[in-house]
Amino acid sequence: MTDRLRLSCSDVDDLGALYVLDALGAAEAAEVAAHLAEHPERHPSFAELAGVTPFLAESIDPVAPPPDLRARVMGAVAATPQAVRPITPAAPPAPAAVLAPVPLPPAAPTWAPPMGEEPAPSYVALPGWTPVPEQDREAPVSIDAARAGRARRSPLAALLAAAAVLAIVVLGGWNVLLQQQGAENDRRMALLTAAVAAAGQPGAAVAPMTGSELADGAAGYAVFPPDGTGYIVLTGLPAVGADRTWQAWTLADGQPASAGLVSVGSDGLAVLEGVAPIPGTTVVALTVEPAGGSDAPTMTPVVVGQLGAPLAVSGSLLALVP
Amino acid sequence: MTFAASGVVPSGSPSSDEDLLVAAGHGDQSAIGQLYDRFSGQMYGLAMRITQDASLAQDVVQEAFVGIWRNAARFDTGRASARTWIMSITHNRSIDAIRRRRPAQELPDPELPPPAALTSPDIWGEVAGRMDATRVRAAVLTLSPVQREAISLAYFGGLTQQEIADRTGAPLGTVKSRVRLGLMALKDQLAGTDGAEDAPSGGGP
Repeated sequence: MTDRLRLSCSDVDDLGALYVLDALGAAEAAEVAAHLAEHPERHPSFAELAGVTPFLAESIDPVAPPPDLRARVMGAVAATPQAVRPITPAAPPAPAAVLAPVPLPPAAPTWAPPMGEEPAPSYVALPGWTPVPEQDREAPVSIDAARAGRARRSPLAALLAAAAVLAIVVLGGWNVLLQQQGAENDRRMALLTAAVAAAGQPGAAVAPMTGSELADGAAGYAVFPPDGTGYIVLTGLPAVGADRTWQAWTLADGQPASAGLVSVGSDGLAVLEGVAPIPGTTVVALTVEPAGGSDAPTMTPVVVGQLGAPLAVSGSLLALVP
Repeated sequence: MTFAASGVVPSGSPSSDEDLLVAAGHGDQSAIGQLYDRFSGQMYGLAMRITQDASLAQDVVQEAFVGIWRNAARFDTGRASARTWIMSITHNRSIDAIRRRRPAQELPDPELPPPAALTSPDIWGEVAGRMDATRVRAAVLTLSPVQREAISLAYFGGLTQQEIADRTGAPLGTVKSRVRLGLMALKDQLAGTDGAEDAPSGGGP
């Protein structure tokens, strides 16, 4: 699809200084990052070059910020959830999940999601979907409630024949969770149930997501209810090393925006909440990024889902945004 | 919980920058407050220098601290010093801010590479605390004027290689080598090496 520009080791050494100064174009920066991930041992000089840049910062005299900035910062911090606490299930992990570390693949020069040929239908209609009853959406969901959900399995599966991925993910996720105990597990169960309820809302936009060969067991969906923030639910997501993280992205008008870091349970189940509904979003994707996440994706997506039509954001929702 | 208000941090203080980041990673917001007291001046100075805009620079500092807070649990003390990590995030947010501000057709790239310090071991962490701005500036002054210009346009100006070439009238390859040789020279100056340890260039020329 795109010409793959393969950099040699000496090319990469050549670009190293520009890379650590954030002065490369996107394509080249992605190539360099991919090359470094593949062959870190061949480029010891990179660490040294990267280490110089903080000193450049120190050559600047400190400037006292206005006194009110501290309160502003602390307020923003207090209002921001820490999205990256790793989930540690209390029970032994289910054996099914693939836990092999994911190697970083070479990045393509452009961030073109590897789309399937058939775009998903615009708004995956879910006729007859039985959402979690209204009163259950707010309350924490107990294991018993979830078992009740599981008992609805056969009608549920039948209704979802058109969105088989969604059904498999939800049921798979429930099955995984039902084998485990603990508060963290209950929290994930509640999230999963909320994500199901979101998909059941009329007008919800759903993008089935599938993994590339790097995460070929991964499947799930992203859902954006018409009146709130969205969810991404995935099963079979491989673990990544401690120095890497899964990061979710939404792509609107060709511009990727981070949707947050994704914690994967040792059972391979991940539920991300609070995915901001950016108007015009057409693609939802996951990449593997350095720990702490990236400002922009540094590799081609590993797990991708596509909305058939750009995401519309209702006026009422926009009005709620301060 | 202690108040870190006196401005006097006793030597041997139990809370190193790294300790504070770890505490923040465990959800301790007061640790962020202490990091603010230690780093906000330097962060705001860098953001002001890059953005040339007080309001934008304040946004940068705020965004940087929110990023630090969100990701503190992922901070790896084995890979980077807290100072390197915090200043890399500040630099990234600053570059982001000025690139966002430019008209769309001038935007060089929507994507930025991750902070390099996050992806490679930080061999500078130990000496960082001992370095003062005067020494860094002196080291910068040993660079040739064209090297200094190229590095400065990239790091403080947020310009890409191509933009630096356009601005200075130098060919791309020249910009590349100026930046590279300049950074290498700076490294040698700051590390105080006798030149014996010139950085190997992966696999030779």
